[in-house]
Amino acid sequence: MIFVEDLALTYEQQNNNIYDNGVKALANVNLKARRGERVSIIGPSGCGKSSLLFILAGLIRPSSGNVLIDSCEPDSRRTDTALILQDYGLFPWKTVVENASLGLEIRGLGKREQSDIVIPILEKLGLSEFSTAYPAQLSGGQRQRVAIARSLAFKPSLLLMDEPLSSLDALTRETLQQFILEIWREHNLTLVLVTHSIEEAVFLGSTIAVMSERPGTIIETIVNPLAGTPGYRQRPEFHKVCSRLRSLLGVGN
Amino acid sequence: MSRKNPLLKKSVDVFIATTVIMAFWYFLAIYVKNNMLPTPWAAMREFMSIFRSTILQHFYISGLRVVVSLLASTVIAVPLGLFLGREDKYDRYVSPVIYLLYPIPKIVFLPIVFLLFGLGNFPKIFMIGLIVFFQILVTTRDASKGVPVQNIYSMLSLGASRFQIYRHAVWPACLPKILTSLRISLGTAIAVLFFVESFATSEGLGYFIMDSWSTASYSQMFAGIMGMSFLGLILYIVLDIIESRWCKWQYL
Ligand SMILES: Nc1ncnc2c1ncn2[C@@H]1O[C@H](COP(=O)(O)OP(=O)(O)O)[C@@H](O)[C@H]1O
Ligand SMILES: [Mg+2]
Repeated sequence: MIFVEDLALTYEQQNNNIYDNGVKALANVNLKARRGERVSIIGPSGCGKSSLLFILAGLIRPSSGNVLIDSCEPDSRRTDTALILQDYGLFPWKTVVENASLGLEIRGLGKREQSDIVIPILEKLGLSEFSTAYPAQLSGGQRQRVAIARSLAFKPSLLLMDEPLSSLDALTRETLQQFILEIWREHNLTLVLVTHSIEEAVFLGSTIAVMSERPGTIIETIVNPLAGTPGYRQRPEFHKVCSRLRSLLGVGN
Repeated sequence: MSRKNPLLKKSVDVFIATTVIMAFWYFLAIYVKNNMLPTPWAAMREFMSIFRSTILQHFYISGLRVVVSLLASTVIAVPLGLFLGREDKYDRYVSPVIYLLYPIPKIVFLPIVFLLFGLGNFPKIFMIGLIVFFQILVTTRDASKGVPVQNIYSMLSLGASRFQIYRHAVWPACLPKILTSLRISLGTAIAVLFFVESFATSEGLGYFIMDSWSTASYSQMFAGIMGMSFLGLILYIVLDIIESRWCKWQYL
């Protein structure tokens, strides 16, 4: 499903400063994921996690290396890859329904067809009573659910999430983690989730890719088969993987 | 509360503002004690008595000039500004041109504009439009430049075309700032209107005010000034209504 080989990304220099050779964001990244897998990517801030997702989504092109999604080069116009951005996903000038239907609107579906698809999804996500509200009138957790609704509307097979829960409080966070698992199961998704929370990476990722400081590379891929199982957070395996991550990331002792 | 009847609230606000200005004017008039500054009552009486016979017609022509010039420059400046804000490779070449032209006191071209386009409505509209054009253009361009790249990414990842990005992500994000620039431009437009109407015309509130001044009909002159203030007020209210309709999300 996802195949990344020797990927490197350098942002071109911004100003004509001769000392500025651009920002090396990613170097030598290798990553594989099978269909239906859940990959969490964790790494220090600024290590290129978002850049990697943008490459997978086909929004920016790598400087070198190979990236294949279902044996094709990533292309932002593909309908089977959905991307959820941390803060900017929703448009404050659109209501919940309008935001959730945006992808369908862009595809040129009529209003009727849009609501036929979106209304059941909103209902499912517990948002139907807010359908005419604006994002500013929602809680952080509800907003993230709207973003998820929008991605689900065109039935993607690959869902990319960039720190989707990082602005939420701990309780909402755990609820939504559970919720993401349900979505993943029901929609047969392949999930790539960027996070900077160790617990989140371990709870959700059946594979955990750990990245180094910039230029980011994947220093370790941890297989985490128990991820997402009920009560995993309380099990010794969970804590073992967490402390493994801590030492890889050089935090704590 | 304001949600219940915004129109009523607005009327009350305008009424209070009018009262304050009138009071100030009244005391100033008493203090000055000169027929050059009539009391508000005298001016108002004059306004009422000549409203249908003369003011209305000047009001109409002035309103037409301001509205047409604002609309025309908006229609050109807004799309251009949205575009230049997003497309750096064009902005690089156009920006210096704008910065060179923007500070020029364009009003000095009035004689040339009259020469080129005659003495009708068009040169006046052109002059006002030319001046406000730059205000709207620069504000719109900067607003468009400020749209976060994440918004664009989020549109692109939904498969949006360039036009759809402008329509769904750039235009709505810039609209509040565009309306602000229109409010500022409206003030400028009316000031320029007054100036261009004081030459070679016998229509418009600017002409009416200057004409009354030259014949020392001061209460008539103030009636004209009230007409101009009224014109601005109506147009500001129109902009407020547009904003409350189109930018609902800003006031939640
Ligand atoms: N458009 C850009 N131009 C130049 N440098 C950028 C750009 N976007 C990100 N960077 C730089 O690339 C590095 C990786 O950024 P990012 O992928 O956002 O990291 P992360 O998501 O892991 O915090 C950072 O050092 C950042 O400053
Ligand atoms: Mg990031």
